[in-house]
Amino acid sequence: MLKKDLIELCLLHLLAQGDQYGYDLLRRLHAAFPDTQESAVYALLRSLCREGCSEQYKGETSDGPARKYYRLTGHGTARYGELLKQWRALLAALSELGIQ
Amino acid sequence: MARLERWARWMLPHQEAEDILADYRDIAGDPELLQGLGRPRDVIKSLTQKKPYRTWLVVFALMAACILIPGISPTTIGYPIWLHLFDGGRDWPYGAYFTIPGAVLALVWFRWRGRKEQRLPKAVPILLAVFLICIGAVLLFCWACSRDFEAFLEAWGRMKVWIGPNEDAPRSFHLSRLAMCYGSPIIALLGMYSLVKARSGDRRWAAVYVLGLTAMVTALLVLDWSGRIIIDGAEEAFRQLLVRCSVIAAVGIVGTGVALC
Repeated sequence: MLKKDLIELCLLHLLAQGDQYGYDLLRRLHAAFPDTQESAVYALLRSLCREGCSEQYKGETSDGPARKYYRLTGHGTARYGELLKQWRALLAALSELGIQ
Repeated sequence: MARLERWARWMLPHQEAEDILADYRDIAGDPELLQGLGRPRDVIKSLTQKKPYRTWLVVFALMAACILIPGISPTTIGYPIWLHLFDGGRDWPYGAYFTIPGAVLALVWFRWRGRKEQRLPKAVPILLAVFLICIGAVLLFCWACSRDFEAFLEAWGRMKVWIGPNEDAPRSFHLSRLAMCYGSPIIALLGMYSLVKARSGDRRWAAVYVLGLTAMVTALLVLDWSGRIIIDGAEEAFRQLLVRCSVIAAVGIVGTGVALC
């Protein structure tokens, strides 16, 4: 599992918890991976959209311009499950080697 | 943000650009995050899908060629092009056909993929009015020549007194030809500018491109015909030219209307 997949898993995990807007996702990922380029994280977020794992919609706001939110799609849920399975397998493999 | 917006609208499909810009409006409030994202051009480059962007570049190159090649043809630099596209005594010079794919491409591409802003950009009606005046002047010239060519030439010759003395030939004749010769590359440049604006701003800029092509092709047809018309029977030749230019103008104006809707 590459770091890219790990960040993808994190993005899908955050979206699985509820709809989020781009800035919030980036800010949270930046806190978790401070040494990773934000542009790479954002490119990953956009590629999830292009692949149909997530979609954007315009949220309702009382004042100012409407924010666009990201939400998980059915395809995204399946991808999330797949990556989670890979992550658990990796954890098990590491644990067998005695890496905690 | 303005630079990012320009790059996004140029390099990305309309909806993709809108979504990314919506995210960036939020991110703009966080300088640390914004700095981490890097230079606007690099950010957009990293988000650009090669296939749709290359398709756009090919379409842009085709539309640009359709207006630039005939546009520069009556100038000194473009004379070899002029010889192939217009000059040669053909009924319908190739240069006239050359502009058709440009207009069709612009209409189809921007109608389906362009972004329409709430208000029409101010420069669009101004440029459309200028091009309409150009088309009107060309049609008026054809009409005047088709009525009584000799009387028109006489009036044209008298104009030299008004414009300035010239012993060899009416200066007005040279000025008219110069206006048509060097008006075309100016129209071509304005057409190019309108293509860029139609992609990065309001799609209704495509109307300027379509009407620019119309104005240019009518002027070039008259320039071509006026260079080889024989005085005997000139009226009939100009009547034919008037009908052709009127048809081109009518089609161009309809196309402009479609682009504006």
